[in-house]
Amino acid sequence: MNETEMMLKQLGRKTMFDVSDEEMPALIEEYDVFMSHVKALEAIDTTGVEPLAFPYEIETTFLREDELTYTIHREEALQNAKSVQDNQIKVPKVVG
Amino acid sequence: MNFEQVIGLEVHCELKTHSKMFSAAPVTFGEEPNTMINEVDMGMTGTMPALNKRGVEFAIRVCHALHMEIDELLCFDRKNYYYSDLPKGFQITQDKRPIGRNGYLDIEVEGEKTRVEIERLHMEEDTAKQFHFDDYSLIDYNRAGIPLIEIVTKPNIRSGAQAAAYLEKLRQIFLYTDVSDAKMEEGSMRCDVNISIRPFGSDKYGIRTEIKNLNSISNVQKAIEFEALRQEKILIQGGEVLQETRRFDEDSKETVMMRAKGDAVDYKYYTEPNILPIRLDHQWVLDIEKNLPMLADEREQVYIEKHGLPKTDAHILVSSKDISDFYEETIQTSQEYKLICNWLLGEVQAYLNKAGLTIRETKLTPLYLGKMITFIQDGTISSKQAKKVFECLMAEGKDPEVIIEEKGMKQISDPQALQMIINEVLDANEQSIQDFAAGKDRAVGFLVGQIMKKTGGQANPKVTNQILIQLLKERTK
Amino acid sequence: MVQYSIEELHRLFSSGELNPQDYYDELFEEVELQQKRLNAFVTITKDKTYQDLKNADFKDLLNGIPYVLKDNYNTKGIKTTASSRMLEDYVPIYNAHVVDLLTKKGVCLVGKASMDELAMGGTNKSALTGPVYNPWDHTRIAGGSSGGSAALVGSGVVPFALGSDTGDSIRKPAGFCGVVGLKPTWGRISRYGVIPYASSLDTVGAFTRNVRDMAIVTETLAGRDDRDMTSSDKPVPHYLENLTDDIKNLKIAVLTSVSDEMRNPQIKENFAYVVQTLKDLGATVENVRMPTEIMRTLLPTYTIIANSEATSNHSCLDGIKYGNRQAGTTTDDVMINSRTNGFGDHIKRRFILGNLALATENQERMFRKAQRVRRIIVGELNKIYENYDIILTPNGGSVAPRVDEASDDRLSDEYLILENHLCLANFAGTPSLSLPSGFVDGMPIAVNLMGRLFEEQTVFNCAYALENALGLKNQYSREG
Repeated sequence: MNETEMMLKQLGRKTMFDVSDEEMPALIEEYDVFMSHVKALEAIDTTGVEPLAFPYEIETTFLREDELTYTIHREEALQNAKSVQDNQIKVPKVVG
Repeated sequence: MNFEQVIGLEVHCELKTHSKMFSAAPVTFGEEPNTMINEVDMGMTGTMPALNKRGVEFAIRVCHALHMEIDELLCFDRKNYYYSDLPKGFQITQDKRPIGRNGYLDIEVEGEKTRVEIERLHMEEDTAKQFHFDDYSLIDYNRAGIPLIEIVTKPNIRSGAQAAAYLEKLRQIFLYTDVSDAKMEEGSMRCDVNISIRPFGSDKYGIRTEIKNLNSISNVQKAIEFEALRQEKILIQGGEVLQETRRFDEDSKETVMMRAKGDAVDYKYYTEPNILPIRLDHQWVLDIEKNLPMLADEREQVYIEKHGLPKTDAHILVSSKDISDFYEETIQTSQEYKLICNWLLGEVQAYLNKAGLTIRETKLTPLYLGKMITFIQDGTISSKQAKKVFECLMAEGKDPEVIIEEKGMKQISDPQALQMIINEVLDANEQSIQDFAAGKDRAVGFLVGQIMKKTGGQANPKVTNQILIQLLKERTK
Repeated sequence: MVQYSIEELHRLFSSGELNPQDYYDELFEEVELQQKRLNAFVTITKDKTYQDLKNADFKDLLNGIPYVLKDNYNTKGIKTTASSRMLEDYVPIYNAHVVDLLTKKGVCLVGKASMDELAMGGTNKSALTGPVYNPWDHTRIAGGSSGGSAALVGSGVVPFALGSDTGDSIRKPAGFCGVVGLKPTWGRISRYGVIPYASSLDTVGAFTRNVRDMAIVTETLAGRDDRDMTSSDKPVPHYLENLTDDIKNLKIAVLTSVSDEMRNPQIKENFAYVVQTLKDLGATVENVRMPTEIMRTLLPTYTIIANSEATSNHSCLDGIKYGNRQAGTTTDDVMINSRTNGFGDHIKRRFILGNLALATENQERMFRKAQRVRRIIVGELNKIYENYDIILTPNGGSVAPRVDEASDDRLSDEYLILENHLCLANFAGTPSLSLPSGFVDGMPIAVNLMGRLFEEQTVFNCAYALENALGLKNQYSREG
């Protein structure tokens, strides 16, 4: 496994995926396209240009009043969970 | 070699708002698991955050109390990581622009005053609570989304004792600004420690470790003291301190390695795209400051300067917000500051210690304490009688007026009534009047004894004394 | 079965000329036929439709009107899969805001429509239930990501459907399927409850078969929702009431940086005809350009921002609380196994690359760089809006590709600029409407009209005038 493959496999784990050997060629191919995109942007001079995180920049003022509360039924909250015990979601023992 | 400790603290505090930071689910403690949630807290895909106004207000209160600069443009970021207690897979926090910057808190350790500089205060949300069993864990989402503020000091704390004093004072601020119950043992106040050591005089920082899982202020101090010593031993032996995260083991009173630096998670912070910047109303921010409840230090000053309490008493009084609040309410009824203070710190505190209760858990009310103090002050009861009244008060919770009535403890303080009784006693004790005229002081004592005997001990000693002397003087003119 | 528009159906139902029960019985016969042909539904909600119909009084324009939701709208009690194995049997416990709005209006939900997995695609080939076919030619794709919604409106099954648009996910399939598709202003319609792709680009919008219907649906969906803090409290205009085809005072910019890349002569000819038609209608139509080097950054900028935000947005899909869960010895293993099993290969690749761009060590060079370029792009676009009300472009360079057709040459300007320019409106948040403009080889083609922020009305008016002049409305195809 070359360096890029190693890096992508590790990055996969950090994104909570197991990247199989069969999937690797397609990932490498898409990685190359992605890096060509990165390179394309490097050609643009962005000196003094701030990142734009929203389509437009407006200041809002709304804050939610801390009055009414709204809850769902516990049965609903847990109905889509695959493993439930004592009205809680059950997972293998969490360490750390 | 002599080493100096370089300590920075990160404190998380849960805010006691009605609803959560970004969802309208209620903020509660100790409820049935997964009953205090909605789709937002479960991280159901498609949900979006809606920021709680009171959460912001509470953060601003603490900012004011810590003398911080407030950023009136609120901006939020995402902190991304995968963990089973993090329902969305990210936490909404303020990374780039915390609401508060550059504050301080003055502390005092063994008479030495220090200023702890505070770098930042930001708002965020709590995670779900996990309960660990032998081979599985259970997740309760009730805690998920509860508002948190995080307060980060600069690394200018120099000892475990200073850290403890800072935390104690910070805890008081949370309590006095009424934003949290700030209980470390229950997790509503949490502290992580960053610590390194360096030779005295050096201006370089050593390699630091982070200590987590500290559930009391005294454990913070113990952990710091242990860790400083551990690092010192390593350096003296020519070793190198490793940058790592450690936890405090309560049984061994030692810090234990949790994870190395290499395992550190990359949080990939970036601007939360679902919250546009929010401009706070400047007047609202000012009003929050104006209406800020009086803090411990200010109360202490008022107690000393306006109420005339001794410094040590004032200090002890404010060290518990419960007691200080009780005092504040009691002085609505009686302005006998010193007497109230004495009772609160004396009899009341002794009772609380013995019963293992907090003052609000007893039958004592500020009104009844105030009334009792008034009765002592105006001579209705003697201080000896007051102790009996207090016992009944704590046991039955009755109005002191009723207790005094029922027990027939009322002092005779009415001058006319006393005058009649005293004249009767004087009429029967001509010898004592002559002794008084001859300058024999013990005659007065004897006469008082006779008066007490006649009244069954209910004559007000002060008034009795006054009238007796006056009558004696008249008769021996 | 005759396929009616919203307005027609309303008139027929409310006047009693058309029996709703008969209409819906016929509609579901058609649903069955079209589902076999197009594969556009993930879920058909027939029982709910009839239940909704029972409560209908046909008084309001939308009351009793059938519609379809893209399968990324959370619907309480109705499976919502986003066409992903991860959510294959996920039954939401809450409704998206707009679902509540429409329900209040008394609409009748016919089903949930197929889409590219998690809306991340442009072909609808990545759906868990397989490709959606084009109503005009079932050997071709409907486009994506809102392919199912587009196909069901284009085949005349329902008069309107909702989709979502992050790069062109409403407008591209609308063009391929010969229907009207609108990506409204970011913030005009609440996104609460819509499974996201990239929040800073995502919008909620509709497909209809004519502009008047689009005005009706958009007016219903638009407005402030306190649960979506990015939704605007600007008053919602009465789009339908204000609709006019008088566009004499309109200034229209033809973005030649895009239109110059057209290679297909028939599409070029059609576009020229559209430009002439607008001039004939009295509008001022002039050519404008954006710098080519900026136009070439559209796809790179989009790819980096969209993938990065997507990987964060979908971190909640970990198999713990809901969705696909696979066994594992540790909680990390459960998450890894669930996600590895639950997502399609291309989704995993995009998440991994999104994570790469967000990583602190790369973020400045990749994600934040893309955000900076985004500002430059938006700045260039806003320069045009200083002088023009509408920016006109061809919707794309070709008709809907065949299902098995290889993808285009990804580095040509035709691909980089022409096929990917619609994301301009997502970068800037502006409203953008795709309108059928003709047919090439029996397949529909379209143009795109982009307006200023919150100026949906201007876009509608321009589209309305053009629609009337071109005589292209309410077309649909049930065969081929």
